[in-house]
Amino acid sequence: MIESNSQLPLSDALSEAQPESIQELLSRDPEGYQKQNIERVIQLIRENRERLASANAAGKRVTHQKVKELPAPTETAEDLGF
Amino acid sequence: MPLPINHSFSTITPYLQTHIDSTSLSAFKECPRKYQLNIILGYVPWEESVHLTWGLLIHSAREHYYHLKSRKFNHDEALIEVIWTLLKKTWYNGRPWFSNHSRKNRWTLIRTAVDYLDRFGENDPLQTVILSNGKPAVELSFRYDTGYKSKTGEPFISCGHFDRISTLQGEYWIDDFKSTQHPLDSTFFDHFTPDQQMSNYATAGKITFQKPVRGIIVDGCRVAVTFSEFERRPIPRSDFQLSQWHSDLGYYLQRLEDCALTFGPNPWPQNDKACNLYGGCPYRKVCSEPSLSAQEFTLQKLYKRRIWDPTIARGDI
Repeated sequence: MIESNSQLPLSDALSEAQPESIQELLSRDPEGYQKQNIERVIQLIRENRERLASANAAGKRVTHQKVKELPAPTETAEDLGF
Repeated sequence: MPLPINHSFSTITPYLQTHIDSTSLSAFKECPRKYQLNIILGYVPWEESVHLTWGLLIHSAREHYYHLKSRKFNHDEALIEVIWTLLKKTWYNGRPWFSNHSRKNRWTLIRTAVDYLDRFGENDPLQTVILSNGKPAVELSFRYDTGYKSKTGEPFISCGHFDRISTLQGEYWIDDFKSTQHPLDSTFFDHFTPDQQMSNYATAGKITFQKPVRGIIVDGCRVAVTFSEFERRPIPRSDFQLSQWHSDLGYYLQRLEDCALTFGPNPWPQNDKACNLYGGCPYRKVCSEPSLSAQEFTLQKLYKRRIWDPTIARGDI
């Protein structure tokens, strides 16, 4: 736990090491993006598509599941910052 | 109410549109009063349809991609540029676009663009035609003389925009992108025959393009909350069907002129059987008012004005 101290820059090595989620990426101003941020968005969308295809191939009716049950990075529009 | 300046209208007969596109003609066929409010007077609801916004953005993404490909970007480079641009276009006033719609929102837009271009971008059997100026044949404006004339001798001109012209096995095709929430089965594709816009494309393809166009291909895009899927099918048109469509066009253009001459600035006839079609007419609130002055008040309060001018060209012609 990091205590707030306005005099010192905060650092959380664990969270910084984690790859960004699609929610985090899409909630940021794209003007400040780096190329790797866009590559990450595309990568996450492709991974999402592959998971859905695998689940469908395995006979799961993914397309009819509730969104919350999906491994996809979509939950609600609000969660995504829309 | 003064009319906005619109170059698609006659300079001789007030209220007569002589340069017609599918949107204009479809509105007139549906309901002359709707056509008057939407096309002649230019009233649209303050809140733009989420489907329209989403559709314009996905079309712009597709167009952008083909332009980049024609400039020798590889697939991944082009996709990065397209998605970055889409993200910027959907960022307003320090926050992302909020559509309040489960299927047509910023996330489904970005996801659909990536999925569609991964599916049909890199290994598309349809190859975009490159024009003599080196640019791709996308969002190409067209216009042709329908052969019909107004009573004052002005020609009626048909206008529109092709999404893309491409080649497949040496033949030319007009390629159009359509999104839906419904399954991409025969029911979906059957909607395009008969269909005003597709018949106009097919006719324009035969008349305006210098090479013989084989037909129309629709890229259907189903947008669901959790996935997007795609299906591509040709939309056939026989010479008989096109001839019938062209004959009908003459009938509707005559009705259009009749309305302009008969009703002019006064309310054009309502087709009250169309008020509940397509999720409800956006002008219901106007037409349900008890008096003309109340209609005017509602128009001023709930609608904004824009100019629908199909003579304004897109793309590179």
